[in-house]
Amino acid sequence: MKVEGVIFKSGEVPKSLFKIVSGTVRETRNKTYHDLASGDYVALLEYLLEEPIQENVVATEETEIIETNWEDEYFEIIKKIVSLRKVITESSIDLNRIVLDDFNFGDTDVDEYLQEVEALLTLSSGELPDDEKEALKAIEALDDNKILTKVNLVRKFIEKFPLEEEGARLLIETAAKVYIVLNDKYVAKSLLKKLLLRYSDMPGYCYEAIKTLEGIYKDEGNIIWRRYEKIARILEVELRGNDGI
Amino acid sequence: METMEFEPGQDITKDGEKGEYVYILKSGKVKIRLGLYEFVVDGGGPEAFGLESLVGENYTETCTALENSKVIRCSSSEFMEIYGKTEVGKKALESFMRRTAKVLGWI
Repeated sequence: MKVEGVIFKSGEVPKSLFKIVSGTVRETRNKTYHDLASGDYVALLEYLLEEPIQENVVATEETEIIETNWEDEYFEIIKKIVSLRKVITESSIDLNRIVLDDFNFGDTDVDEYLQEVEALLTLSSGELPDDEKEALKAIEALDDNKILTKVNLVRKFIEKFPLEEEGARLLIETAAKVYIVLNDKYVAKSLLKKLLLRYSDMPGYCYEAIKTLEGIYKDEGNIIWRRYEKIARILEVELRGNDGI
Repeated sequence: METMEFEPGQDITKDGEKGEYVYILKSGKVKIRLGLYEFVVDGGGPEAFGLESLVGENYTETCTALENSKVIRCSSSEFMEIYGKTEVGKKALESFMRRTAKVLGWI
């Protein structure tokens, strides 16, 4: 059958198992959504456990589903669960040995990644005064509608004054603005990861960056957020031992 | 199909090893480790583990006896033939899903 909109309502216990033939279905649990595609089962967890749906399960486009049952789909269901477990392995980290790769910088090496970010951030030009205080003033005077100019000036500030803590603060603030004002997750994440690379000796700012990254990945429905959550937890404990952020 | 006995501390399945059998817990207590999470199950179930073997995958959990435990060890075909469409099969699927959901933070 073809459906669009709500398939299972919040609070409903699914009595039928549906398999997706085509289209997209969105499930949301604990405020994190994930999209199901062809071959996936709708509300498999709640169906098997006979538990109520947390939030409406919705077909986000015209979607074709067929009714089936656990007996006929036994092997396929196990395959699906095993593939979910593989995601767990991929998004897990060794809490005793965090390595750079845990921050999900992608397939490129760090130098290449930075070059990519630098290229991306050269979106608009702007001159920055040589005096640090004046430079800060110039950046902070920019309105939200000039956010891309601000991003570029922050990049220049960091190049000009690499040892200044203000660079870390500017990266955090600018990333948050880019995310809120432009809803540009890629640039926001790039700025935050840049902070982690450039200011790794400033755990307080790193903690803020990691928490923000956790939030962005969560909003995306990307399970990588779990990795950042765990790293943030470790940093939080360390920071408490160092009298807070 | 055979009944096997495990002593406390003995591993029944190991994460990453080739999945060859499904195990049904008859008595005793077993700790199941999945990722960083640990679950304890007892023979009051029925509880089964090692379902990965049914689809030719490696085990994803390490199951360790916490006390003297008796399990029935089945090949894939034996499990499906005898338990596949019974309450044992349903419960096995449900537990497998529940543990996964717990680790994923869904429940």
